[in-house]
Amino acid sequence: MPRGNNLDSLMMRPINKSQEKQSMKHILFVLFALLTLSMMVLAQPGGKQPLPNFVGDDSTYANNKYGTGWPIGKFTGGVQGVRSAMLHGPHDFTPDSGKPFERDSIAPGVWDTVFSATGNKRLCSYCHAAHVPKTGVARPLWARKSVMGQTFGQYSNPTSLDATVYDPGAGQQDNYSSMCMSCHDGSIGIFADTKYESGGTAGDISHVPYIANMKNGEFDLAHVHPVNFDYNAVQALVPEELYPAVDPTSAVWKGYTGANGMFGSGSTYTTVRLFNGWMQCSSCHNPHMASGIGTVITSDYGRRCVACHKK
Amino acid sequence: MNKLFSIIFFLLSICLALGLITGCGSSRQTQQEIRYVWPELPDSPRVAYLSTFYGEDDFSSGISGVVGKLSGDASAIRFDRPFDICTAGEGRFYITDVNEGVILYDTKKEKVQALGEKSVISLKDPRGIAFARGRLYVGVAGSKKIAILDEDGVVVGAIGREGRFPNPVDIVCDTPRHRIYIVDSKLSEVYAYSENGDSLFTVGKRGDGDGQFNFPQSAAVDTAGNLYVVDSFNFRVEIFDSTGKFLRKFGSQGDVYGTFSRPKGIALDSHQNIYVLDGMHQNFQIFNNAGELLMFVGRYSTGNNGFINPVSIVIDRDNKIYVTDNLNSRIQVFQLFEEN
Repeated sequence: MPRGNNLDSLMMRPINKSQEKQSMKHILFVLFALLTLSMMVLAQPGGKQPLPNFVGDDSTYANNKYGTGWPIGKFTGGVQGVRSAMLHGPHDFTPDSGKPFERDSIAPGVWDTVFSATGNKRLCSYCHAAHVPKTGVARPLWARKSVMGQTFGQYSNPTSLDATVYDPGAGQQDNYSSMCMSCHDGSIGIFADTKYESGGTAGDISHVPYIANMKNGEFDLAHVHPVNFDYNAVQALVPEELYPAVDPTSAVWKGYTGANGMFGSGSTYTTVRLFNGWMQCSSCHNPHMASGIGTVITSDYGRRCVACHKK
Repeated sequence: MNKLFSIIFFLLSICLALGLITGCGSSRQTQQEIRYVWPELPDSPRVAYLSTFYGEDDFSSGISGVVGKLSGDASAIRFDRPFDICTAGEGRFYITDVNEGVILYDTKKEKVQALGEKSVISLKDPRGIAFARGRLYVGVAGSKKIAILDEDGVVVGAIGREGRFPNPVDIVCDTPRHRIYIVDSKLSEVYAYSENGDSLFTVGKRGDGDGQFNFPQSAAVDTAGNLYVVDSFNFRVEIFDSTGKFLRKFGSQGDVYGTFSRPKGIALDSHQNIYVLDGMHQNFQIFNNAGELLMFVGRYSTGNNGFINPVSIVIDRDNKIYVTDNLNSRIQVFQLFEEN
């Protein structure tokens, strides 16, 4: 039998039989422990299962004059439906609101109130940037070598008219609420005293004593509601105060297909939408409406709150 | 002996397994230790992050300060939603905070003070602020007028009847010409007044043509007295001469370099470069006076490499740059390097 450092020769070393059994037991035990624990780590939920994205009463629908649910396609007339909802409302920023204009060089002789290929591109453009051709990208003269790319990365699809902001928590920027706050910091719109959870976790709920407060149909923005936080993470901390979210396949959202649509307010509306599981301004407020943007100030008030809060 | 061995082995394997699962506790690298400069290598750095103003606690030192910090001294003034800032020389800064009011932040005397709490004109809900010749001009959205204060915060006058200026988001001084400009975003007009409060002329009106505004946000004045206005919802900067005549414009809407999404503050450095702060790009872009992009600073961040929804930008004589970082509840300070 050849000598050498191979397994056979190791196995042939004289070992006490009972010791051998002991060490085998140890090895097996450790392997078993590692196996079970690693299964716990690797088989975590989240990747493939639908995110719990809605909170509220299963038996009601988001039901308003524009139809059940609210992805943009469900609006009567699609994009034009949104336009008619927004026109002359508080989020209509066009300086000559509603007046038709010729669609310049792109379609001469065509009159429109919604879209212009040049200029400020009209009604939707104040929040949704239409794409900019490559020739429109400026190269920074002091940063020619270090700066790559073309965009500030704010829009999920900068090459499409369908450009909407990034989903919250999807990457560097979470933006639904940050976009609302870009006007509602007092510079353009009514000041919204909101507890913007920039860390995103709202884990420290000790500084979340604020409540949304609307009195007699008037804004009382002296009080705040936190936004931009992971609802499911917070709910897990205070399960006696908040309802858990339900997943997107539940009955209430049968009619819902869009990824980034908003929900209209209707008197039967008692369900709150989350965005990738996060609460944002748009969970309760819909900027695409001419009125009732405050949503919570109408008959919804109370009902909207109890969609999430148990008491 | 064997039993001991097996117990130790058992515990070690558990620890190992737990360690693998929880991962190493990553040491939190404090943001303050990272020196941020822009642009990054291989380009020469031009702008560096300097410091942050949070509030009264910035000056806490010694035992009382430490105790105050530990007990979370509730009475210490901290910025909450800082809106605008102006420099008043000798290390003094006056800041408007939509929730906290008008605040004096004195870096030389190391004191922070809330102003005008018992004043005859309510300073509640302030917006733009500017300082010239010992006078503070505060745009007050609450009472919709401009309050004039002395350096101690005592009201000495006002501009406009109550309701005259529904949203005076910025005030800028043209000191050589003894003049101030008031930007009102709700009326979409800019008003020129003498330092004493006499109305001089109005610039612009609502619209998207040359010389018109759609929710203007801020203004700056160069050494020649030209007026630069951020015309936010026309996504551009418009430049007027000191008589209010429209000269030129630059900028367009977009999310690519050189464009604007929610342009807010504007300021000029000593080389007349134009800095435009953007509340959706979460940065400020630096343009030369001809409107060509030089570089940009910042991104969406809670750290010192960026901002969350910044509102105003101001540059002092030494080319120190101050940004009101509204949703991060702080003022960020940067330095432009001298060209060599």
